[in-house]
Amino acid sequence: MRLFKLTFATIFRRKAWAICLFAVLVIPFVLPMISSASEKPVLVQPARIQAAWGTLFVCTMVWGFFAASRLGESNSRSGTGEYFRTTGMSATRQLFEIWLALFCYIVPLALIAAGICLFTAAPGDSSEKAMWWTLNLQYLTLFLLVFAPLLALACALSSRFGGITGFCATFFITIYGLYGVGYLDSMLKLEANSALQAIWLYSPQYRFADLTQRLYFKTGALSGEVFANMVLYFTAILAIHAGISRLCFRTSSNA
Amino acid sequence: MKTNPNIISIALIGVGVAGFAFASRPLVKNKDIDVPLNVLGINRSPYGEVFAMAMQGPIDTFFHATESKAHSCDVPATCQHQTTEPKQEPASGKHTAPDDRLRHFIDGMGAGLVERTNPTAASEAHKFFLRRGIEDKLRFAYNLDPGHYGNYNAYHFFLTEPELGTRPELTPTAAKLAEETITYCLSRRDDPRLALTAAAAAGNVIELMFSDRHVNPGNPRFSTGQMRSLLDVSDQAIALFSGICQEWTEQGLWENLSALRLMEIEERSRFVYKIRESQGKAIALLEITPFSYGVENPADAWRTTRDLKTDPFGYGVVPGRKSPKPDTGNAENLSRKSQGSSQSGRNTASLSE
Repeated sequence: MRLFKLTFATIFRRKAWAICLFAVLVIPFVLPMISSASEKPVLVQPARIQAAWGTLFVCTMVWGFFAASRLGESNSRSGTGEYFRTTGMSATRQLFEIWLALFCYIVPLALIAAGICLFTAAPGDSSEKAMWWTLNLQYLTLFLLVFAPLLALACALSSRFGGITGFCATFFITIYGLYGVGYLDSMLKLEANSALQAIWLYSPQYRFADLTQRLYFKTGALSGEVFANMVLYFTAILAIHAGISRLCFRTSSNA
Repeated sequence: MKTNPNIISIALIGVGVAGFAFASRPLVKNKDIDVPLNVLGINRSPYGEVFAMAMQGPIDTFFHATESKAHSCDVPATCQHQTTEPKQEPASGKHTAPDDRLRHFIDGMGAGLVERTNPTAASEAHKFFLRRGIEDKLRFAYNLDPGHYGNYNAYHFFLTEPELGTRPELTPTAAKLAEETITYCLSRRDDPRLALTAAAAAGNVIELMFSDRHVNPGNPRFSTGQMRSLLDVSDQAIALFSGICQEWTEQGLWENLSALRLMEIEERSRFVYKIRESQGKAIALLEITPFSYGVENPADAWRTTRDLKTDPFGYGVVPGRKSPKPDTGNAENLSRKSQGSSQSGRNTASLSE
């Protein structure tokens, strides 16, 4: 696990994680003050939930993907990857260790966001407590399941095509999966188009993993069947991304 | 001679700051170059129209959204409204093609995502939050394409329906919305659909004036003359629609539209014609019996000829373009007044002033 330790220490020394940690910890408490919740105290909790998960999404998509791209690029360009190759560490192992180091920073951020929802924005009615815990754990699971392979993808793409390509491609895929497919769906409901329909059908529907609305409308936890389907769906996408990442990742720029 | 590079940098910054301070003041104060916020120029652009369409369900879905069953017209025998056929959901074992199965799977997750499993009813605060969200979306879609029939009507409906709206200044907002829509739509001659939207906006304002007679039977705020002037706007829009349709036929532009769009235009034009005709009759009745507000209220007679369930009761409105203003003054005056009144009494406050 030498590359893991090295990457973990590198990320730690770059200090950008501290900004994300600060944002995830502070923004959920500060942002509601400038929303309409300042006039209506009953809206503080929904505003806090939205801010907590919104900040987490932004931090992961901006800092997480950027860090992954930078690590992937520097691993192949600086000769680090080549050095570890000579010590017998395979490309897949290198990708896994770099990914794991970065993932170790994302998981606490996600846990903090879920914790803020659980402890500072829980519904007052005690009968809703169990639902609240289940829903937050479901959200946490889906979030990590969606973003874990995307971090690896950003890392792998940038090791081959450069940091900008790795970051932009991953960012675009995520935004498209979160919001683009929803708009495409509305357009297709108005006017059918078989080509677009096929594209839509085989697009990653990350919007299912965004449970923020269920939290702030207190719609209740996902039913067992739907949650199992979602886990299956995102695990399948994880497998695809893992495959693509393995294919794309390379340890040196001229290999 | 060797110059200190810092001095050059500091001089550059100093000159820049001075120039910036000197030049920015007239620019900021110049009203002519003050443009409304419009990211990438998307609002009112052809791309905006496409995005707005994506946010907009079919007209029937909206107009009949409040009904629990299929919509009922006054003349069901001749009703030609397009009703959405319920999709025949295949039995679970029949999804044989991989595409079908995947679609069913994705649809299932989509349904599960919005399914309410919490047995506790949503609180008032949450309902308010939801309504605010809807209103923001409707306004966003309207800004993208103010000439879109559905965008305008959906937003108008929302603003004038007291059970739904969340903003205190409903009355002037709806009036300003109608006025803006009419001005925008009548200034555009590239698409007949915009003229239909203008006619619908004029019809909505007349409808609100009828509602005012319901609320203030003894002292209506709007005269039949004001209604007539709006009816003229409606006629003007309908004439513009016919004119542009003629041009499109001559230039063969209809072929660019899909069958669904054509059907939509046909349906909307039929609807606008019907509304215009009914409102004309109702105003004529009001002119004959201006103080009859019982069961035989002409406005009621007009109501019964409609198949819309979008009756916005309780809001007077400032007439739109080309119409005399009511005594209370323009929309800004009304806005100030209604802001002064308490939020809880907003329904009656703006009307009683």
